[in-house]
Amino acid sequence: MNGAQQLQVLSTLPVRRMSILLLARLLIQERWRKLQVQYGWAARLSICLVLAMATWMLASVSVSLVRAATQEQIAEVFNRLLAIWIIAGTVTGKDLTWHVRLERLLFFPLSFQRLFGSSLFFALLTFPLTLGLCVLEICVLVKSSGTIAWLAALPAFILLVWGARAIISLIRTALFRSGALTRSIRYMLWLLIACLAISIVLLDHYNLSSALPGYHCARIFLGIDPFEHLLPLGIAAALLIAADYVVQHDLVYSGITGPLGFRTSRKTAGRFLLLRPSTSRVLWRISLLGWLRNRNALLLLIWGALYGFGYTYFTKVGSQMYFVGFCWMVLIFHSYLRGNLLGVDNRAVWVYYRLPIRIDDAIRAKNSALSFVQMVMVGGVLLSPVLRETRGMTTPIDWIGILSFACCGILLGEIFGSYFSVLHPEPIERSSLYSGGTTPGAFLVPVLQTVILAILIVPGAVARRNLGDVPAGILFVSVPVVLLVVRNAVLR
Amino acid sequence: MGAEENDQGTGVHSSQADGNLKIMTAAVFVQDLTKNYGPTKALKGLTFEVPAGSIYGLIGPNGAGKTTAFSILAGLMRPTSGISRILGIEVQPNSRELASRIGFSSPQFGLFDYLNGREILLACALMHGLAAYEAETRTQDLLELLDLESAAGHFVYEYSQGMRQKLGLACSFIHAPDVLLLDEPFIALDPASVYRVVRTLRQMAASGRTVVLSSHDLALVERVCHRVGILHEGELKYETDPGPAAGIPAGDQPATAPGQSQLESLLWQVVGAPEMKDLSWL
Repeated sequence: MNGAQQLQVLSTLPVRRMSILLLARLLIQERWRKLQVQYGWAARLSICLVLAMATWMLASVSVSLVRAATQEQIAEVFNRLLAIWIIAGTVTGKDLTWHVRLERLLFFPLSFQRLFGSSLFFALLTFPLTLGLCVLEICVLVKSSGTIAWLAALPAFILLVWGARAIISLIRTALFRSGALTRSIRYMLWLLIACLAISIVLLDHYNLSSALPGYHCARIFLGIDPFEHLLPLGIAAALLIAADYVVQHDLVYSGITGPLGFRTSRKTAGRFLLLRPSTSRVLWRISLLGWLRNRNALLLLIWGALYGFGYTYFTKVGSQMYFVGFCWMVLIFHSYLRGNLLGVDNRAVWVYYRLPIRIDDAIRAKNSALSFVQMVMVGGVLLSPVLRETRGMTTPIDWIGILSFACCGILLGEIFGSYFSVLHPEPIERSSLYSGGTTPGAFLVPVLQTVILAILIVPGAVARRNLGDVPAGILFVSVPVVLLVVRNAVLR
Repeated sequence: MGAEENDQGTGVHSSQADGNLKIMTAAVFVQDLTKNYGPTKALKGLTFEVPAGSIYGLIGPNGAGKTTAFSILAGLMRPTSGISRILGIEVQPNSRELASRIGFSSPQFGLFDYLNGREILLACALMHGLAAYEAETRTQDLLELLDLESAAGHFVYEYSQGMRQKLGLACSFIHAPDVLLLDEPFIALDPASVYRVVRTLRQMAASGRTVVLSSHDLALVERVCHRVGILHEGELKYETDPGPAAGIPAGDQPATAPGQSQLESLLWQVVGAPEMKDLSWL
């Protein structure tokens, strides 16, 4: 019997269908062991305790809030939470659900339908979702006691999760992996996203809030025909899941596992590095390219700069504190990346140690490239008062104050980033040796930055009120200068 | 049988009197190198030397300590004890002097995912101090040599394992180093690329440069290397000149099975022949 005949015989053999429960057990076991390796028993117990306490506290706060809330207010809260969830999930890639990589499971004797179906079940098995569900159920019990609303709240929550997850998956696939899709599916995806965006804008414009999910959630929450209102949520979720199924099927079998990268022509590739090259310039440029080509960092940059500009320009709101808040927000986006500046290069970090350069030069380049990215985002926020007169940004001292705040934020990030990157680059998760996002610095740099900035605001405001513009201006200029000296000393 | 007993072949353990002379003349000199990862002893007194202008091969089973040895020699890892010198300079982590004279490549280490192949080569060349024109010329030459030109504009994370390996090798060649440390240089390479890499290595050795490599492809090692060391459980168990049993003491001549190379027989003799379990259900 030749090879082809053998294959033919093999293909006719009845394949025992793998139980979905077996797969579930396998994946949960793997996940559990990964947690064990990453955190150990003590840490896992602490996490469980912290989450239990968080649930209790969040529930008590939420209960006191919802006691006095009206149906419209509850609907508005649901809509806003859903919008924040979708935006944050799209920008960061973290949508709070568990994503099993379907392409990794293809070798099991399971059909794609069953794999996709099981992934919907796995999606729900995360701590944040469990916590959210507990809080929701407690609130439903308090708000609509004596009804069976709490029974409807569980499927409504699941439908919301699946719907939000499907939307995030569709948008991220369209943004990052549409090149791997066949043409018809790609066009269908873009059309679907366009239709969704248009319908949301129209519903909002014509005040048809009853078509938005928040309305149905609020009715379920309050026990007003709860099971009737599950139907529209169910239809919306089913349509989105079906669309996601079609797209994921096409994507998984395309054989392209990663996002299709930005390609440069053979002639232009590398030109940026060759422009008046020197060691420090080349280091800075490869660092900047690294940040800009990391899709999460890039999306945060685009989102931060455009949102900062768009919101301030179109809403016409403005005050000193408003701009301070906005600058803080765009600075904090990338702060966690300073926790281990070299670690973000993952397994390529060794290259810095093999090149005839000083490691502090590499850290300096990483720091300043990230500062450049943050400056662009702050620039987006401050562009609006440049283009039109805005309250809170009219006098030179207003500008000096805000620019001083932004510079202080960036310099503090560089100082603490250098400190943690050099002295404490080890990850908290034991298994992710190369991850830059899980070091102590990733958590402490944003916290320290925020605390010190908050402290710096007070003398600035007091000086402006009591001493006048000139002494306040001197103070605003001198603080960043002092931080610059400290930054240079730290890097040395 | 061991390195200690193979005086006539290796010269590893010659008298202390000419030890200093060897340090001066050997391009790579390693003595009593140990490395412990907690309770695990990866290297247990590794000793060997490589004269300038030669190609030295380290072979041995998985987990023998080859990658650890290469990482220490490349200055990426501190040894627990022992001496390692390259071109007479003691190897220290992050030594800038040695970094410009050594080329290192290993499939264990990655490259920048978000740079394309040409950018990575250019960055390496420019940071090794080459002028822009020279960097561009060498980058183009290496891309052509290793058949990477069509993928030069693609991000590295899109590369196949073989393409990554070729790019890593190109990075180690680009500054024309005096000593090349290549951990598994032929892994995942297509036959044409293997041919080109082997020719380049021979050319480098002929011009007085030194190459230390490890590989599991024994036939290739036999063909390429001037001298081969068998590493097992962190120790250099045997050194020999490959080829038709040259350098192997008469008593140690391994019996070769049909289709088996001398080096393969020797390796099995040193580390033990692989045990085979029959799969009755297959």
